[in-house]
Amino acid sequence: MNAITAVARFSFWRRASGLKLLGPSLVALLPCLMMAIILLEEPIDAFDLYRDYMVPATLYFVLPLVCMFIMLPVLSELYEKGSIGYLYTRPAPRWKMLVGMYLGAFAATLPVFFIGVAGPMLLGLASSDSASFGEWISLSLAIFAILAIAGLAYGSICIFIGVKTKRPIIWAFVVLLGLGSTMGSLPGAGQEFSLHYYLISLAYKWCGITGSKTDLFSPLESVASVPESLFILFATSAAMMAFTAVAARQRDVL
Amino acid sequence: MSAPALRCESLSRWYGEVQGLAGLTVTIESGIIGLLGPNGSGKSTLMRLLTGQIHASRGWVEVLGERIIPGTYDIFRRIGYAPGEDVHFESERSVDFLKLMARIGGDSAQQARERADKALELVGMASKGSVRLNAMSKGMRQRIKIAQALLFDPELLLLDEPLNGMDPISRRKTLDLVRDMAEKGNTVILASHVLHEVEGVTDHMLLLHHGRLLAEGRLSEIRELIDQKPRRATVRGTELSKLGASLLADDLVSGLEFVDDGCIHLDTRNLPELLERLQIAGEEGLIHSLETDDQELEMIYDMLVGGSAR
Repeated sequence: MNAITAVARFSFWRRASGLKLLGPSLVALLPCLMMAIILLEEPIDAFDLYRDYMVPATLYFVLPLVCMFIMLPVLSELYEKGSIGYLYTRPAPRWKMLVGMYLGAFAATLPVFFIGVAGPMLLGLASSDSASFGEWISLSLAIFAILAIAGLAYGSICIFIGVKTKRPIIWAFVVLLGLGSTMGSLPGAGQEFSLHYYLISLAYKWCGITGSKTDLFSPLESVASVPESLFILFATSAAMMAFTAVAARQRDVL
Repeated sequence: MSAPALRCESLSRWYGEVQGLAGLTVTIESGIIGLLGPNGSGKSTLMRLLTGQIHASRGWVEVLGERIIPGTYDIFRRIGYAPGEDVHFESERSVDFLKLMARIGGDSAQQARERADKALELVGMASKGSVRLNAMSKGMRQRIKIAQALLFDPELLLLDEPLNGMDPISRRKTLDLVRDMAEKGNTVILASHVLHEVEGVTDHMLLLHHGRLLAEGRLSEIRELIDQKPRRATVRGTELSKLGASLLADDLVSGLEFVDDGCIHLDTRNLPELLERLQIAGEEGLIHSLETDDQELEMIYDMLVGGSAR
């Protein structure tokens, strides 16, 4: 475990030290800002606004961008600079280093997701009459859990892209925003091929959103069950990390 | 009988149309081996193949009796490798970088700390453990690269252009370290494009050119054939006019050219003696950096390939 924990700690501080989380945190607070503007202009209940509009917005926009900002560069940077050679010439299997990098970077996304969830909750608590403190906490914990599970799944995809391709940004846009957010928000059978379908399904079940007020996104025609969603998301994470290990053996360090 | 340090058979690597290494067949038993060649000759490609960082297009390589392919890892407890690339773990303190490298190898936090301290001491950086890598000079980072290669007391040390950017004192200490390693019975492969750097520690060399093994054997045999063509050293430091005058007076330089206040070109027909004098000046703190051209190596190439090397 020494190798995994050491690399995970290194990876976490590499992503979280200094002001590196400032950009992703500002992105995570965009729904909070939108919520504040709407609350100033519309007589709408803050709890409903957050649950029905901002939770999907967070999942569709904030989640992929945060994953790309934090998790994509973890390995792609080391490959670009050739520094990965220092790690791969250690007496430890490569998969341990990949898992350590993945877990460390994933841990760095958690404070950002926390900020993205805590901001709207505090704003809502300050302005809403209809929902109790307990309801806000329960909703916030649910969305935080969904974001964390999503971070594991999309993070593993980012790690794979970082090892497999030499143009990680382009591929990340295609996969996370194209196949993820966009395909997951379009009506039709294709929706089920997007991880977002399962994330939104979890949001339906755990956060109680129905999509009925969401004009931006197509409501789900059928909702996946919680076990099915969790299985798909965790299996994707595991499969992508296995593919990453194969890609790391195949890719030359130049 | 122990396995040879290195054995390659028809080892080749192409980068698309470009030939990085072509059909290298060689066996190295032990000692210090200079891997010489100009930039692009295949030195770094060979180093990467020896450490399983790239796939061979053809052929195979064994290091300390173990076949090396990408993903091989146990052997790195016996091999220390200092890559040619700079250390890009910028914000890490040097001791933390070394601890990380040791912990990846399976050490506990305490063991890693001990190994890191020992390695820093070996490269003369014991007092620089808390300095961040991005605050270090290139020469200091070179020594940290060597320190990480020494962490596990390797039987085989692979150094890719280790003296680049080092001041004269660091160069001497590094070469002393290489000699010490060899005296303990270890093998060191030292890649360089500057002949006299390697010549200072070994007479055994592999000469690569355009990815091919041009020569292998005793440098002294070839060296005797080199004529006394002038060579150039570029020195950066302080009180250079005084130094230049003294070198002229002692007939060690045939010409000198001041580039600016802190930089001087010295032309000489006796490079080894000039370097010895500059070494002494370096130890007095007058010299910050020293570079020599690789004309010597080019001359050897000219002799070996009939003037068509370049």
